[in-house]
Amino acid sequence: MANPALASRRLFSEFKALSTDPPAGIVAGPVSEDDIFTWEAFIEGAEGTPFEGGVLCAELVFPKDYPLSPPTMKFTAPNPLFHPNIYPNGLVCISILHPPGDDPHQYEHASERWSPIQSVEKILLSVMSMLAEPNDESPANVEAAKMWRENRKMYEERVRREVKGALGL
Amino acid sequence: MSETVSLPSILIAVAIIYFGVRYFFLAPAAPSGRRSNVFPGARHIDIEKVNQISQMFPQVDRRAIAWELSRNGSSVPATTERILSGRPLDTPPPSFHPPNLTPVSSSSSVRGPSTATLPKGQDLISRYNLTSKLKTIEDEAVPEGATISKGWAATKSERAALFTKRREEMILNARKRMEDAARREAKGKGKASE
Repeated sequence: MANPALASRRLFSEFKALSTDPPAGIVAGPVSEDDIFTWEAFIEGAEGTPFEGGVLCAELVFPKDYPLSPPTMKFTAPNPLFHPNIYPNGLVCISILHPPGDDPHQYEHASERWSPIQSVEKILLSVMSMLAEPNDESPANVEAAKMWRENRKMYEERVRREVKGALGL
Repeated sequence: MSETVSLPSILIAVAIIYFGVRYFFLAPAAPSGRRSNVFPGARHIDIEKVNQISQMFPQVDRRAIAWELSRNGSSVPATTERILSGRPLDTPPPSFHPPNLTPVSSSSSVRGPSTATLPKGQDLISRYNLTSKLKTIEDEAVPEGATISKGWAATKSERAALFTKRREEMILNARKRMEDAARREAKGKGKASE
């Protein structure tokens, strides 16, 4: 059963943990505590990737029955974010954000998918590694997947340009 | 002899029946009797609880929330369950005016989920109004491996300020590093061509 009070408490304690002991390169929390179900997350681009030096910004929207169901995550900067596993509208497609019962592609292990023992921190760390190593088995952005596979240099160039653009350069 | 019942045992039986009836039938009636007074619950409404529910369901009238709370024993879970179940809350009688039931400050409702309404492609510097702060960091060097501050505060507004600070540090540090890298690159190229 949905229990918004439970969801709020859980999100609040995750916010506290992410503020006092944040993983390197991550800032995340509610846009305003008046609506604990809408967060913004900032991820530093990892070294050795075309995202290096940049800051990526995403919006997370949590369901009222969190943590039973996962949130959705949508990049808002750079917008669009050119990546095989991110839809052209910014929505992130990654196994940890898929509910356990719902596996449209039939290739994800249950352990990779969402369960209440996952957390915002784990989502953001998974997204960080997804940014570095795209999974082109089920691309959300076919054009990006094609370019990433066939013309890596051009792909990286384009990502670098977008990352700079997000910082106003 | 055997038919006669002693007076003390009759008295005891009567006493037991009397207290039994009183315990089972009258006790629960007492509070409900008091409840039928004119909205006594209005005095006991916990405004914090009203705020809590109102934050979850901003579309629901705050007076209706207070009215529901006053009648279900101030139970937040019961009220949220009722709203979620789709049964609309009862309309409070016109004379129901709990004290302190003012709407939440408008500033908080204005902020809301802001990112959703942002124009496409807007960069982080203009989105968070950091243009003025760019100048102040122009001359300072960002130390290699500069970290983002962390911490927690007791009040909502302090936490919001802290979060804003961490967000700005991350964006401004990144911007500064990227500018420095571009400058170094330009210098390197200049030297190479000399």
